Amino acid sequence: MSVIFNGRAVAPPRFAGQTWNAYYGGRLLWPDPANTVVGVEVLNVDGGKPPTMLPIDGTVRLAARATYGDGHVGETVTDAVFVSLDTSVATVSGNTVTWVHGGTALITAKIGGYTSAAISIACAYAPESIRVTTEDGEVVDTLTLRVGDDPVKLLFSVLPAQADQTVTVSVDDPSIVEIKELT
Amino acid sequence: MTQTIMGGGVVSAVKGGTTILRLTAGNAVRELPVNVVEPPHVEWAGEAYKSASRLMVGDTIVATNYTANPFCKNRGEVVQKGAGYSFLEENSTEGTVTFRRITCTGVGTKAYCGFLSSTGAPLPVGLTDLTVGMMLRVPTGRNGQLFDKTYDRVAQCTAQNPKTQTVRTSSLPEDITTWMLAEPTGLILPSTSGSTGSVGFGVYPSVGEAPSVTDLLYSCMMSGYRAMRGLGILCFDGERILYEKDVTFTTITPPMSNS
Repeated sequence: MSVIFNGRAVAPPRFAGQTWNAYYGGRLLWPDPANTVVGVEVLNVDGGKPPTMLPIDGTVRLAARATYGDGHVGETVTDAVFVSLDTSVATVSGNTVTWVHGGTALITAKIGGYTSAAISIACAYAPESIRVTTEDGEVVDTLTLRVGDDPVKLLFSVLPAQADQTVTVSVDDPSIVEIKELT
Repeated sequence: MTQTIMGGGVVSAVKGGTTILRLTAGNAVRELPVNVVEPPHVEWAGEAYKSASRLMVGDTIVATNYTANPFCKNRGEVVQKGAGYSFLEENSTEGTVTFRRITCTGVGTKAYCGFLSSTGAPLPVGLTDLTVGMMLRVPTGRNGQLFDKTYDRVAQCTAQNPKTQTVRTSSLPEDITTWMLAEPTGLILPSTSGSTGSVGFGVYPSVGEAPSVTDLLYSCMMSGYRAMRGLGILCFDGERILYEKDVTFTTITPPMSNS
């Protein structure tokens, strides 16, 4: 933090061979570099790299670590102020990030008045519907088959398209029809 | 059984009935009603052939237990399990039937179209002749003309009085486009007095593949044959019997109509 007076940086005052300091708004005007946060890194709660994926309905706990003006690195803490920049994708409570919707969650951490760069966490898209079509793209609502005819190929699309396309298939009466994965 | 699939699946019909194909992805559920139709299975010369009158569009009848000549399995034997379409009422004595829009799709080098009759009971003693006329006509051939040729070959046999005859006409070129054109009338089958079983005849190409015809008039006339329990039509492609459209028929009295 710099003190500017009449457009010029002002150094801390010296009287009687002492360097003086002052508080303004609860903060030191001329902070000690050893106490000045110059960088914040968002981490996983275990101190590792921050998560990049968040599953549907999932949560993840974060931590943060500050770097100070004199170059030393602080302790990994979980009581930093974590903020979600898009609460429609993910919310934050304390150091816990909670999935809300598919998309990219941007999370920042703030220590000592310094806010980190946002980290990105890809929040999985929840399947909202399943579309069944023929190879020609024709939507299939019901299926009529004839014993002895060639098998019918069906394409499954989970919507939204970003959602996991894995579909679990079952047949109520497997003695009537069989289904195999399209190869 | 539940399985995980990505992208799509191949659904095969196993047997007739209705069921639900259930797809799940997360909380998304898709239920696809599935209706499986089971075509009638006809066993010629068996009791089941009576149900063949319910053939529907696209029905496929699988012929089983037959050899290259569906009418005469082996010397002296009649195909016991084939497939057919019974179009005459039991105990009919005479009539002409007309099939329309029958597709006989050949996939092999041999195919047959013809008629079988199944008495299922001893033929009347003293029956000396059975006249079965058959006309096959293709409205337009490959070149668009109406063919008017005689049939190439006729194979026939009886059950207990086995006899296989081949009738040839020299005028028919070995060309599949003209194969279906048969316009014989009055084919005289030998006496089958006292016999049981089936009689039948058919035409088939001498070479080449079977024709694929979508508008085929197929008529048959018979007379002088009492106690007939059924008379059927067969179209073999080597594996299956195909009926593309509804098979409609009329039973009228001779002489056989050309329309």
